[in-house]
Amino acid sequence: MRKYLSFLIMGLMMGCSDQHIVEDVGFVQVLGLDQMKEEEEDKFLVSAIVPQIEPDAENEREFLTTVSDSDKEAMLSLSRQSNREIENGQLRNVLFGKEAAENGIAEQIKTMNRDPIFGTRVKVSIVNGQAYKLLSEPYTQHPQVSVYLDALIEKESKLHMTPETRLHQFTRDLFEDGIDPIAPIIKMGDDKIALDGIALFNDDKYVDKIDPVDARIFFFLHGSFSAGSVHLTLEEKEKKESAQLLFDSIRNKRKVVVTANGPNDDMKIDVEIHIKGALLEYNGPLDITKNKDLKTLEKQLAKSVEKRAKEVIETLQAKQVDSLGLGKKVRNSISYKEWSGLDWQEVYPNIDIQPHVKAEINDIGVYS
Amino acid sequence: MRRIKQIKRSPKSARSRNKWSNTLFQSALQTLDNCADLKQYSLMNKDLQFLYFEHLIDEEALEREILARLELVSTEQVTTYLKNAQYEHIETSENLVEKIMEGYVAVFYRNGRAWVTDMYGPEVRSIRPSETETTIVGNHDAFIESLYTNLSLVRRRLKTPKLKVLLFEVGEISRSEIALLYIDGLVDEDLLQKLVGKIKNVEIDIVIDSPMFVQLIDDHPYSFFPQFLTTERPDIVISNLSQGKIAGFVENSPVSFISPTNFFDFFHSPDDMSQRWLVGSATRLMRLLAFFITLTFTAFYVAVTTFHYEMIPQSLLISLAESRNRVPFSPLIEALMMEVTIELLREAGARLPTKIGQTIGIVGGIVIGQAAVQAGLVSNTLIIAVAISAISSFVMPSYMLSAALRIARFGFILLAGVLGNFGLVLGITLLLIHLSTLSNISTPYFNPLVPLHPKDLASAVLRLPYWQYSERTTQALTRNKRNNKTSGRRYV
Amino acid sequence: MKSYETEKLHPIHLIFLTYMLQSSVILFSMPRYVAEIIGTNGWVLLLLFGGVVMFNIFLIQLVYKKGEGKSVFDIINRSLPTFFKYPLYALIAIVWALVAVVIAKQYIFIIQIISFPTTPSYYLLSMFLLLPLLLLLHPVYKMVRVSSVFFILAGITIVLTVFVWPEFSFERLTTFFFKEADNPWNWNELLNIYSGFLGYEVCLLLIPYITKHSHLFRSFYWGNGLTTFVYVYTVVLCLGFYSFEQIKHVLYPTLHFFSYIEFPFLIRVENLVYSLFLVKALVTVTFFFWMSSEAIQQIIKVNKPSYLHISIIVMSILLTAPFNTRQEMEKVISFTGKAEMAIAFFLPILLLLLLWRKRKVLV
Repeated sequence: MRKYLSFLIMGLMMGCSDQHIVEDVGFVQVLGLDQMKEEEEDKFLVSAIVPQIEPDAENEREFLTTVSDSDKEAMLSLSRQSNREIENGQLRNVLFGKEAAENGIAEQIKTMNRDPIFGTRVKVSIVNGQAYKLLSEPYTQHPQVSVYLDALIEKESKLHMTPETRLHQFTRDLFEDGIDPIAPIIKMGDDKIALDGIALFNDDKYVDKIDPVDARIFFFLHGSFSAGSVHLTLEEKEKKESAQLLFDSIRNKRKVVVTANGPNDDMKIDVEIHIKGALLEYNGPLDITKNKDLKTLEKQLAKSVEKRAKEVIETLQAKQVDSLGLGKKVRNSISYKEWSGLDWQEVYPNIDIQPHVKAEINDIGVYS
Repeated sequence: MRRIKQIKRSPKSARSRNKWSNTLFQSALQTLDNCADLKQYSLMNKDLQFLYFEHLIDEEALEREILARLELVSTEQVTTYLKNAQYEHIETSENLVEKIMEGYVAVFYRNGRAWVTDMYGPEVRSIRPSETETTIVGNHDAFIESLYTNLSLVRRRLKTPKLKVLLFEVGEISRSEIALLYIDGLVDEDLLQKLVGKIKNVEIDIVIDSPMFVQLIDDHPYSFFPQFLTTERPDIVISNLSQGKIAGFVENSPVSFISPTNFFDFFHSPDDMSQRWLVGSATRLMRLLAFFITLTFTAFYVAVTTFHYEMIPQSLLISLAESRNRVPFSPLIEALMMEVTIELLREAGARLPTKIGQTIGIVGGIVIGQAAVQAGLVSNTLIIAVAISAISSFVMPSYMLSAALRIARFGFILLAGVLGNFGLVLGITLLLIHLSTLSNISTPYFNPLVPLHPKDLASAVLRLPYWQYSERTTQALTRNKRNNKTSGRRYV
Repeated sequence: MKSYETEKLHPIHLIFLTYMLQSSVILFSMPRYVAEIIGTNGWVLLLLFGGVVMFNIFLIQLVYKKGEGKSVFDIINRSLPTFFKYPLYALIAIVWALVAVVIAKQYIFIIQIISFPTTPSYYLLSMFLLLPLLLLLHPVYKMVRVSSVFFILAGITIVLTVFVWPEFSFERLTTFFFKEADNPWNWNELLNIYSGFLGYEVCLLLIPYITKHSHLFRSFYWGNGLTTFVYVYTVVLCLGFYSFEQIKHVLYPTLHFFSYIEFPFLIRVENLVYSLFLVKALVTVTFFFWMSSEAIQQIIKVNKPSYLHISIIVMSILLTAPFNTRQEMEKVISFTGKAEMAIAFFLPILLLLLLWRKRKVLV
């Protein structure tokens, strides 16, 4: 017993200097990073939202900003503006202003990875505009901006309208040769925040975005999933008019077939997409209660998706971004010698990439 | 209440025979001088004197079986009559006094000869349900303060001649009887001898009850864990006896102790056996969970709020920080304060009569819980944490264990407050080292786990269906492993 | 006499013991080493390492068989002259003590990086080293049993990895073998990876304490199998979780990925995981100190072993005191690892030679 006691006493002798008591820490929940203009180009405008924990405070958040060129310095500078110690352990979202993203964000991402306090689940998003402006807005309907923003992105990525890009995924794809990172892009609306599609990166530089309407198609190409719905406009060639169609509860299977025999220019990539779902809305001429017409509709649906998929791929190729990770597929289907001899960035825009869509309508709802 | 003496006494060392210069009667009176409660009764026409303690004997029986019968015997034949088996001839004064103290009636004849006869039968409490170990569907009788009633409760349930009883006398002043029960053929002789040796070595003035007595014979006096299972319930005793274990009773104690005991025995309640096996298993798992909660929950709260704020999920974080914001103490002080309060409440509740005890509940629950949060002295999350740990500690079927765990909890809280999660794991490691090196009469305390006996472990952690109990557990080292004759469902 | 004192150890204790001895904090950085030194799909080579360990255990088993269960020290004492054997004992005792303290320091170092950057490291180290001191008070068979209980705690971390599976993808493993390493086939570095398997040589000293029933060597083979499996599993998991280039930049990939796990009631589990690794470090440290003290007790007879333990621990801390930064630590780790490897291989061979010579003399 004596030995246990001495152990305990010894343990208590030392006061600990590494305490972070929960109410003494101002935990940043959203961090916004914007590039400074002209003369201070290597500096960042750092804005942080820290939830307020004083029950009588009027605002539910503390909004802090500083200009700095290093992360740690920014934290110190932010701490000076608060009665609490500003820390990053509870950071959920980091927002990069579009301008900062265009200039490349690899440095920031690497810094965040180096410090163990950040964790790997921080969501990385791009703001179409300035992160500072988006965060400084009071949002009267959502006093807790950080929670609002986090839930918004979380929900959209669950529905596969935008990628789930956390620090881990972003870093992973940044380092991988055969894929380029993607991230959600958001914009400021009128007293609200709205999703603005998918931000495409070439290496660590933002190049373009995919509009929310095409996001679903992008995800068909991106991988297998099961969630969400897609709204399509079918163009009826004969009648020169269009039919609206809502395809819901989609289960999507993607398969990538790489045919590479011999020289590089012969390489061909087929992306086979198999979508299954429920047809909830259709106002076209076909009688969907009939089997035959349903089959026709399936074909039309497939064709329509295929066409739009092709467009998405063309955009990606034109911007030279391999956001779909086709490079990985190519790498895994050729030998190491071929792969190391291949400059994927160069080759990618000129490869023949063909989407093949097979659609299957599972049911047409509970009322016909 | 009559006492029927069928138990063979263990042989006592033969006392040196005293040359008696004066009569036994005189010397007995001299020894029992100033014992105002000693009763002297004489039957002059038969030249007989009686000495006894009125409150130790059954007076009705004395009247009926001795006085009434002696009336019928003629004066000449008295000595012949007293050779009757009911009477024991006594030759030394020490022996005589000893017998009187044990509730015998001493009979003296004119010529200086003396006999004793067993009339033991003091007032005892009747058999009532246990208040500390309650069950819902199980048996409701529990041991009482009378040793022989307790033995009877066991023998009623085990009608086998193989149930053996050894008696010892411990305590210089109290001279309490200790009974060891075991089943011949199941018990391991070495273990029995070890336990007997330990009991014989005890040197103490008085023995109060079993939980106190086992502290005199345990292997690790410095540990705060109870090392003998102590129980008031005959059903627990017989189920342990049938595993080859030894049960001990202390005179005037309603609690029996069981040896060898392992840590997991403290998690078992007879209700588990009455329940369907799935329900019983779930209950046992829940108790193990409660064990971890009671040890670590508050400590984990302290660790997280002091060191690892990043581990709190978002939904909890803000409300936690808000309620902590008004608290002037560090989480460690806050938690210790609250834990001490809960301990005070519990102790107060235990010492007070039930009726006042309810008041304590109100004062503690409403006044302290509600008001302390509103006054900003503690955070409401902590109240929840402390309450959950306290409730979990009450889940333990053994009060002894739950008391030990509550003390251990303070150590965990301190370690967590100083070193966070690292301290917490440090504490768990210490606890595991401690538990795995404890022993009970040199059998390992953490048995089915350390050393590992997978079958036993399964039946210790779960309540397996009865056909799985085909072998006795290893704890008691019994050589007779077979428990049920068949492993199928033939027992139905 | 039948009692628990002499009761045999269940083989499963020894299996878990082997795992706890072998795997220690190196598991945190193992995937990075593999990526840097072996390259893509480097886990295949770990299987080979596991095989080498099997062979080494086989050597020790030969010692057991030829020596008819005699303890190592008996064999040496009988066949080597004093002036030769004392330096030998001193040498291996020092190496073992250094291995122990280096592992302890490495573990404390990781804890410091993550949670206690400003707490004095000697405070943490002494808190940690009190545990082996406590364990060393008990006889070795109890130490073995306690160690295997710790497997429960260590096992929690293995179970937790399940929650990382959704982010795992075979695509990232690539189809290439042993390519794109930064530092390919550097023998020095390869040996460092192999040092992650060390710890099995404890069975050499366990020989006199074990009865036939425990299947000492079979258990160690199984235990080594378990370790190899866990290593391969972890490395594969990390290679499929991180991208290959990324993994080379993550200092502790195995720890880092736990921060990705999220429960509704708890996030950032890596804070628990590195604490739970305490038990792994503890077992290894304890047994190496024990071996060291066994060796020293062959030179000087000690009445109170606990004083010996304290002095071994204090001496070894003093010896490694100058090495504190990560670079310095890695040098010491690599050095002691290699010394330990040499002992693990050459001590059984030396013993076999001694046994062989003795037999010849007898014939």
